[in-house]
Amino acid sequence: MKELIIKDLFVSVEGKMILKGVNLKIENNEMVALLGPNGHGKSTLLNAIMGHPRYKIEQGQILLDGEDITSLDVDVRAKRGLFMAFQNPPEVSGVETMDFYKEMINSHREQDNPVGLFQFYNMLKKGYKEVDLPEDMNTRHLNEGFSGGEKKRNEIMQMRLLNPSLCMLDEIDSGLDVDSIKTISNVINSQKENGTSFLVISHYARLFELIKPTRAAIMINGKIAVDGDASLIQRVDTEGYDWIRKEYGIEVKKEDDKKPVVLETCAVKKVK
Amino acid sequence: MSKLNYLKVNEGIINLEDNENKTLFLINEKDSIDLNISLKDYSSLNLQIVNKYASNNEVKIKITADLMENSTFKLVLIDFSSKKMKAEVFAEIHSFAYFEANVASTSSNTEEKIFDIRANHAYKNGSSLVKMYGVITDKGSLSFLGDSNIEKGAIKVSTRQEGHIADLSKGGKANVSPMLRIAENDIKASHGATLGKIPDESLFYLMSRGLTKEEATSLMTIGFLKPIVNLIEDEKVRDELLDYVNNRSY
Repeated sequence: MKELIIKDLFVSVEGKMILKGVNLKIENNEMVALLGPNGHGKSTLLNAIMGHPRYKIEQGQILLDGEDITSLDVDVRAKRGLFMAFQNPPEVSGVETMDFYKEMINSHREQDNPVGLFQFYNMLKKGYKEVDLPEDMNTRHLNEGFSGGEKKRNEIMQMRLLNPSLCMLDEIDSGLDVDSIKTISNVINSQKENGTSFLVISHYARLFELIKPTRAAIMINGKIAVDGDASLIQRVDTEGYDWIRKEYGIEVKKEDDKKPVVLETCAVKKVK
Repeated sequence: MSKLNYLKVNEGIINLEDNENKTLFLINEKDSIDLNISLKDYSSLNLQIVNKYASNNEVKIKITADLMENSTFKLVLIDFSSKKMKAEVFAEIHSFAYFEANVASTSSNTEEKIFDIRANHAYKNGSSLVKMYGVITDKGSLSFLGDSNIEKGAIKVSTRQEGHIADLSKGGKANVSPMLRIAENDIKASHGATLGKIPDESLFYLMSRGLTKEEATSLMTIGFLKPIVNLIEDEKVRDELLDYVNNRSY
């Protein structure tokens, strides 16, 4: 990837406008930290770049090396080198991790050249060692019953197996202990040495200290309010976001009150 | 693992004496199965039925089982046929006996398939587990009717009913009803039903790794049926069924 350009991006979710004119550029091999208070659109931006169908692009463009990818299917974007590590990876019941990994790797290869058994075995062995997970995780159903930390390491493992050109990490450090953050930081740094660009969301300076972003952008009210060097991370860590109001005159809107969520229903359902 | 025996007849009585263990395997090629099962104390029956090669007529399966004290009856019923069918299973579960039913089915045309599996607990300390997994495509029609009945006085009984249907159809019919009827307080009973499309979030997750929508749907659907198919002990038949599940279009 040479560059990813987000141009005047407006994105709505279920009729509510979340992103209101985002402009951002990520160049080759850059590591950009994406900061901002909760509920201001950081995850929405990542999902919109990846092509989540729930996130409707109302206006603007996402340009990957000059090509407008806004209307491309999710899998096509992945094949172009985009990768997103999920904040909450879903549990996919019934799908064995190993089967999924094989399909995932093969989806990035020519149809008549699937990954060989020995090569696949070695890739998994190396990957699990890097993220410090036991190899027998590959026989378990995808993310099912994994702890929060295991899920996050599993995401990083997938990043390694796919070797993407742009990697978006959505709070990859949440739920990880200090040692685990070090482990995944080392893997992220190795991946960066491969030439991968990064867009990283985190609320904690600890991760950023280890992966050393080259730039930082702060998202407020669905827009990039401040775009600057990595010193912004330290400032946010010590001062929060109040200085943005004072220096830039931007009022930081508070997150909407969350409506109650139904966790589970117990019912019999009939469809026609 | 107990020795694998092949049932040569579709109708009749299966009696297991005290402490006897048996695995019976049946590939159904006829219009009906009608089995009366009687399990004496501490006996154990593993009955595996594959209804893949059905005739052109409606297939009717009727299994009645009497599980005496400390006996075990495990049923695996797999049906990937393209014919109309109705399966009725009734298990009477005595003290410390265990009944387990595992069903996998697909329905793709206008044929109607009904699985009605009943566990009756009239005695103390019995347990049962019913798990049914199905996929409907095109205009398929599938009903999973589970029923655990716990009578008054049947204390310490434990039962669970599960029904799951992945609906990939265009105007098909799916019905999941894991029913519990309970007349006793000192018991454990639970049920779970899922019915619907492949979850959007899971689909997005798999597609974000490069799988097309069709590949992702297929992988998740195969995953739905595979755990039940894997219970089949005959390796050749199991591989054949897995091939079918893997290569079917969803």
